[in-house]
Amino acid sequence: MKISLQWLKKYVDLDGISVEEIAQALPMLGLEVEEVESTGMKPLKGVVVGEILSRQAHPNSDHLGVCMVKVSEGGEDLQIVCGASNYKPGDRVPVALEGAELPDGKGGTFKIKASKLRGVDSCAMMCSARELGLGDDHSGLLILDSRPEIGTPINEVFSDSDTVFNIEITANRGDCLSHIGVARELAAKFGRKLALPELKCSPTYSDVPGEGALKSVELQTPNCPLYTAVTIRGVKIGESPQWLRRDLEAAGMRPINNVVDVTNYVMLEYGQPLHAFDARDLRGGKIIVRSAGEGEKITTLDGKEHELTKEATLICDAEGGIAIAGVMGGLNSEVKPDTADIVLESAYFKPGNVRATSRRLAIFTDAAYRYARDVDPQGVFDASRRAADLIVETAGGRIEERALAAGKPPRGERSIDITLDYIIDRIGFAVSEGDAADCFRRLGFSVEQTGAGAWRVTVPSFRSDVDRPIDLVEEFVRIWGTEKLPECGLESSVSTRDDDPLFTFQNAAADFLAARGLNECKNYTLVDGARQAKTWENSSALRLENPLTSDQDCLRASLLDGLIDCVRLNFSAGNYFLGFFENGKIFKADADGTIAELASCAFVLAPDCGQRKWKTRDAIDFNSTKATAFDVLSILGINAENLNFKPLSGGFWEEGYAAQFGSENREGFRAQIGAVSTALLRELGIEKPLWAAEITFKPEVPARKKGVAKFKQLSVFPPAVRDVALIVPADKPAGEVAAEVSKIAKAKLKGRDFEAERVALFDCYRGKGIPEDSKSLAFEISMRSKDRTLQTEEVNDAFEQICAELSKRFALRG
Amino acid sequence: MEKKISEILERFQERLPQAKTKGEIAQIVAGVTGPNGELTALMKLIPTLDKSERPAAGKLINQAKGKIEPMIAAAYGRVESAEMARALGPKPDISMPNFDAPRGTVHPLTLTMRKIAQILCKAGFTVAEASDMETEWFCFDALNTPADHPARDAQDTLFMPRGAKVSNVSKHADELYLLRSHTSSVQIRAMLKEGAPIRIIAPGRAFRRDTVDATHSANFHQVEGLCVDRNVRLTDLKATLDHLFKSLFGKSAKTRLRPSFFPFTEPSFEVDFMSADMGRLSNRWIEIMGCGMVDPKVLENVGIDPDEYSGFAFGVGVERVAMLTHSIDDIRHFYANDVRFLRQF
Repeated sequence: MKISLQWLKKYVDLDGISVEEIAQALPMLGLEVEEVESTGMKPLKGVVVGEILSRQAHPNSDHLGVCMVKVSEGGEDLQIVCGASNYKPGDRVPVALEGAELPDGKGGTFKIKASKLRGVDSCAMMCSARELGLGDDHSGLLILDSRPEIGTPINEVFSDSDTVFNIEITANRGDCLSHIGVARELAAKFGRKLALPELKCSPTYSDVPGEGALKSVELQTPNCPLYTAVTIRGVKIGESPQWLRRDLEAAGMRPINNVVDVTNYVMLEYGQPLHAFDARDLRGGKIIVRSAGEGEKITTLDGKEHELTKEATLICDAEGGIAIAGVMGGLNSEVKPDTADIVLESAYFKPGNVRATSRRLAIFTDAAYRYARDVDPQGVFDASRRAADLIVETAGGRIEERALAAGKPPRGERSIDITLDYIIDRIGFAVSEGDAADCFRRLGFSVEQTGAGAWRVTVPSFRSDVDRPIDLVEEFVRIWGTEKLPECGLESSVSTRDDDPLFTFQNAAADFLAARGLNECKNYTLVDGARQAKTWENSSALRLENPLTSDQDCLRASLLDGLIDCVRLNFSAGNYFLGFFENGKIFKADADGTIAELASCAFVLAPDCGQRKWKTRDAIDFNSTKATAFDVLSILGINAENLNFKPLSGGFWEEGYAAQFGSENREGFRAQIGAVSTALLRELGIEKPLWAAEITFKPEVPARKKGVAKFKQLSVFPPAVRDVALIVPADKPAGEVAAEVSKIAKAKLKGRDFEAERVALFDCYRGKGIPEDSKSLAFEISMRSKDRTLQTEEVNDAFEQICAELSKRFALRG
Repeated sequence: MEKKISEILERFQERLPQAKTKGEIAQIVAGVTGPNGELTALMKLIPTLDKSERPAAGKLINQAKGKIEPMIAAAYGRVESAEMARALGPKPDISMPNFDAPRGTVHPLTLTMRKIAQILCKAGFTVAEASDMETEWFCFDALNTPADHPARDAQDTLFMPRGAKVSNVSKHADELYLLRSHTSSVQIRAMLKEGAPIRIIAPGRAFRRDTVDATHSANFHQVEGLCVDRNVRLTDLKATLDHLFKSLFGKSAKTRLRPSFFPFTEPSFEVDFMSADMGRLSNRWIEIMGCGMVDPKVLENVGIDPDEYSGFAFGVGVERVAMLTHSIDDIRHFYANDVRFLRQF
């Protein structure tokens, strides 16, 4: 909102307070200043009106002239060298005297000094408009055609200078959406007096039918608790006076005609939106405020037709809609060049209702903005009277004595009891009784002492946001000045609470994966739903209701797509990397569309990012990917060694190169490990294979209680190791064979006083000596006793029994 | 005999150092002490000697063996060391560049969140988490922002369709699911679950319906802070913020509270800070975050008695802190994940 300093000064004396001080005070009151704009001429010292007495050619220059200039009556004339050519002796021009500071056009100033120009003394400077900061004209000197007195300070010639503050008002401060509102704040801050306009007319408000143009007002909806109308007859529509046009333009509004300009002016003055109807167009002499019918249509002032819903509030005459309440007037009843009688509406509409209607119809007007921020019910009357005064002043006419008012002000003054102790208890530092009460008084609140350090504070109706003692504390702090808050040390009590285990897990996983050489990523939670639907099932349920763009219209179902995009970006940037990981939230929908928010930790490994190396390593493969994934699982508190992974294919994964275990609903987590679908990669323009894994889990999984580990004695005796190799079909999963070997070893050692400490697969061989469709799996069985060295015989005996059992199911090799 | 023995030893001493492998050593040793070895042959001669000479001869041979044994052990030691050294491969050029990918990195936003968590941990705060998916009640109503409140305008929110079902976030029948527009919803969840006193921070994602540009992102990160206890005052909020910003931006950092408005705090403030260690941004006020004293209505909404307890809350943008800390000029760097960017922190 644009606030003109010149306009503000009508209500508060800001003498002696600089623009900078005001610009610094406003934000500390809670009125954020987005921009300070100076219009007209800035205050310039040492620039006066001078008259050119003579011009002579410069001895050393074709384009310079040497002038004698009179800058004061009775003073010495000045010799000035000048490069312009648009003047003649007798012209009056601005002259910057020695020591004057002119704007340099970059926000700073430069100082005028007496000097020599090509050998000729020049002791001042005649100025162009641009040199005075008045626009861009630099084609020649600024000739002062009005011939002001010689020696007049230039600011007196260009006296319409102004400063406009563009202020951002927070949602709670509807009262500051006006010049009076901002003036009130500055008056409070600087301890100055607020002077409100004198209201001359004072019509008699009543809800009984009058005799004039308007016979009745009927309120049929709670969304309009108060409606007033003043009738003015015999106005002459025309142009507004200069002062009014200037003020409106300074505040960023375009003048239209005197009546409309006054309604706008008073809105910017009091914050109360007003609307003038042409009295001729009020059919039946009636105003009815009601909810719109579903589908009811109205054409607004801007010529657009709107279809309303029943939530909208409509101002109607006897036959139909004439304005959308609080939003915009109707075309059918607007003030026209030949309008003579007007009905001036001033009302209170419920903020929420105006806001909803304005949003639904996408009509954002200054009026709707103010109504939505809760106007002052008392201001409904004041602004109406002020506007009537100004209409009579600018457009003539006569105010009808009887004015209509229906309903009641929804808010008046409120009394709040508060004590000094309460204030001090909230702010934490001492303040005197007098200082506290003074802050409230300066804001225009009335303060009544009710006891020692206790007051009853009465808050006027214009402050919709001050209802409770805590609200008064805020007012105190604002006016007292937060810069005066004392520096205090931290006072903390001990906390025995733990960090959320999800946070702890994510940190540990990030450190681990980074130590493995991977780079952590952050990708957007919102993704392109169409793309995601190709890879992840049920993702159509993850679409947003109101996405901003189609490439971010859906919740992500996996972290992997984002990681693949990172790989692609880094590939194309020619970067050298091993892989990427991310910790974050994902969303999964089941077949019936129910969404679950899950935590996820995922990584992608690039075996080859195209970097040439002077030495090679074994490439990343399924097993190295799986090993990293298992380590992450163990950080999550899950021992993955014994999990029964099943082959995984489709969507994101390459058939035959991927595996998964678990479900978030059953085990609380799911792990997927494997090669990324080569078809998918090629579609994305990635020409190199990638390995990936994702562990998704319910966010509460890291908080699961882990059992306390119990120490098991270490044997000091050596193990006895025996190897056995089995020939199995080539496509038989080794894990199944290993499980069986373990089981048999355990069973065959049952009852003995030593155990199979470890059964480990150490070789997998295909080729010579093994049938074509088979493979050899070699296991090492390590046996150990906790209290003695094992004898060869007993180890052999046990091993033979194990082999005998194994040979029933597998072919033993060699 | 004596002469023969010393000849054998001499030859042995000569040949042994030439052995390159354990096999060669064994061969040389066998040539002396093996069944067909020279010393063994001499041993076999003893019975043929005169009885009086036998003890002396035996002694000489045993002495010779005694000399040989440590030599053999030394030879084996020499060869074994050489073998192990061979397993190290050829001697490297220590100036060759590393060719494995360099150490991985933790994302600057994670680092910033950790740093803030560590700083506030000293002031007694611990980390709380809650869902990104929220309901209108948790995100707005409980935070004193009713449906027709203008503050709901400013927070342009991303909603799920009316019929959306979410298994692990429950809602009232007529509510909409949404993506939380601020992490303040965690305050509500934490206070409902844990009551007062409470002192938490909540690092996490928040979502706005913003067009992506250099300073806006469809999702961003915040660290929410909440402290509710007996006698928590405005000066405690200020002290906490001073601690935070001095720790983040240097001892010279100071803060100022600029009155503002949030529905869930009263009074409410924007926080500006100023530090001498900010490069070209030094010694000027920089807007950084919002904060305030928890509105009594919010405490009531979660069943905490506002006459007994008071508190403060704040929310700081993680991207903003990271951008200021590291002089990053565009928020999109955080989400592009170019390793040349990621490796700088």
